Amino acid sequence: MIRSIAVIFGVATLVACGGGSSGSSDASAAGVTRSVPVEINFSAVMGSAALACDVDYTDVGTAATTTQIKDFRLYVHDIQLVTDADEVVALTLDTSDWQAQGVALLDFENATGECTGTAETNSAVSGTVPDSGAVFNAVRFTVGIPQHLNHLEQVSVSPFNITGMNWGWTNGYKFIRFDVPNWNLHIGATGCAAGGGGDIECTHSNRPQIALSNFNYQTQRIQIDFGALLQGSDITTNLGGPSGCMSGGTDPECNEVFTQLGLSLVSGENDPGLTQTVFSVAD
Amino acid sequence: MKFLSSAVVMLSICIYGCGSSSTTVDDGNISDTEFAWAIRDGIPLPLEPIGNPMTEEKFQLGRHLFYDVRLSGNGTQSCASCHHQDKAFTDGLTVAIGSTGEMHPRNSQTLTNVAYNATLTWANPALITLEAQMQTPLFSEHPIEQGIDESNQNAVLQRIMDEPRYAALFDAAFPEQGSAVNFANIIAATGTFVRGLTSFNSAFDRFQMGDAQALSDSAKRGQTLFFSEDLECFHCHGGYNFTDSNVDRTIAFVERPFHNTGLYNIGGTGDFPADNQGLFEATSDPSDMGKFRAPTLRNVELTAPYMHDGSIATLEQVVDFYAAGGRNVESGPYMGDGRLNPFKDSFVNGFSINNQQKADLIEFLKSLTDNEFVTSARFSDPWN
Repeated sequence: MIRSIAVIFGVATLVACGGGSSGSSDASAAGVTRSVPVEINFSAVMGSAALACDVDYTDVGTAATTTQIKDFRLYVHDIQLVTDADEVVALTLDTSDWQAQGVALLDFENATGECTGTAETNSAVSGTVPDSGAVFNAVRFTVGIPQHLNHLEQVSVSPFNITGMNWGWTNGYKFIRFDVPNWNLHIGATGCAAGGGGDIECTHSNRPQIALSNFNYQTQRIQIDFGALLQGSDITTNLGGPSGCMSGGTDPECNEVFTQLGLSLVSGENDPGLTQTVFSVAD
Repeated sequence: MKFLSSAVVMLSICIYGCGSSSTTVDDGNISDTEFAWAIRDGIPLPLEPIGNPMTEEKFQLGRHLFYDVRLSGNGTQSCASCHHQDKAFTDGLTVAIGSTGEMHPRNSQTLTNVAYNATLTWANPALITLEAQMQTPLFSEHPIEQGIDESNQNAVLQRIMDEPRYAALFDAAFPEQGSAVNFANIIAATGTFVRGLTSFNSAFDRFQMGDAQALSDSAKRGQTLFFSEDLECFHCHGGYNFTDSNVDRTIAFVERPFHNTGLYNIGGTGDFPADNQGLFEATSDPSDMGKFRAPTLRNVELTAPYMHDGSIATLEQVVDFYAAGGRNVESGPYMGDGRLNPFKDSFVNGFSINNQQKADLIEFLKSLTDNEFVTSARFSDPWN
């Protein structure tokens, strides 16, 4: 199968239009709620060790392989905080090189060692919520880029113009790109085809929906464990299809990976019978 | 249509109205264009993306880029490395070879009239603009073709900027852009050039235009065979571009068909070789196994070897293959009787054909060769 990467475009100015505007607003007009800034921090680990390029990790996967990482990037969107009264409050994302139109790119590789991406890294998502005085104790988010943004061709705004995250064969993006040498994990929507009118639609969404309780965004972080994602996989062996998992419905390496993410490989949707192991709350 | 604008709108980035739909093509006026298409009467104009309308300036810049080996990670391969004008923009190889020596699983396709293809590449239902398609040869990692990636992309752009001829070409193609050398503009311009590679000037076209002498008696007999319900060729290779994967400004209801021709049937299960499973690779639908887009037959005389994997060497063998209703692979890892492939298209049933008829049929196929297309200075390498 053909995978491709994207075009890098000149930096463009994002015109604020619903959902992408940044900053907090002053409460002036009646009915306008003051916003408060929220920063949600993420971290990446391989089991018990912090994830970084140019580090040897031992005992990875079912074959207890020693490996380094090549790439570790993912998009997230639809981030919500939940109050202690079970109210769900959407985080309105700021706009920056890492965030646009409600989508954020998290990037844990810095192009050193085996890593093949870019020097810049990002481990936090920033936005605002209405200043209601609520106490938040849980978080929900969806991994990936939403469908209505996933097939915009040649979008000249960051973070949609990151070469290594584009997935040309689906006319879309890699939602998750976690690679080790000779074993690649590219999770993205598949079964994509143009309808008669030209809209791209995909049969398999492949967007993990994550919900974490007992999460205090001010003191804790969301930990992403590459080791957990690989715990059922032998990263030295390719049983079929591309080396590793590129989200193909018949790629034997995808079964275990999708299971760890809580996704059904058959439907491309979250499987209520599965519990994802990759994302957790860490102090 | 949503989100297919091949646009390179560098400055307005409330992207297509922040989620509202945008139109891909200007189909409101079937003759509305700023470009001198120079397409003969009787052939409708192809679509132009709203975001990348055809201009002569972009075409000329795109021509330079198409033939420029600087547009690859290691500076050794251009689009033209796999798309030679004298072979109707194919390369004569069984399968393509990338800039780092990787073998592509597929045969390099002709660029004849790709502006009219309902989908691009051999079997991808999601690629309907050249601007989207082109990101694969430029940036793909599996296999590496031109091999531009995050480690070399800035160096590639610098190489382009360092070539003195480009400044004026970019300025003309993208006026009022301060810094026009970027991949968005490179893709827009190259897409414009490739979209302009039209070929409707063959002996068959002259015959269609009223020159009764343009086709030999043999070719005329071959034409009758080609369009017969006995041979069924025209079901997949019909219309003015000799393919059923066709879109133009007059077409209201676009079809994007793919076909399994019984080339393989590994183990009798319908399977195709692992790296060449066609539409199935995109859809994972078992019934899509081995389905590929029917290519145009224009200039087919010049585009050997044939099929998605280059596995049939000559036109004569292609005719024999269809006469047999598929291919029985009798030994080796791909063993299996393709004639019995459960996903085979119902029009590939086989037929009886004698040597004279075969010669006539091939004579007709050769009448689709457009010598002007393959020799025209307009489509040639500007660096030579």
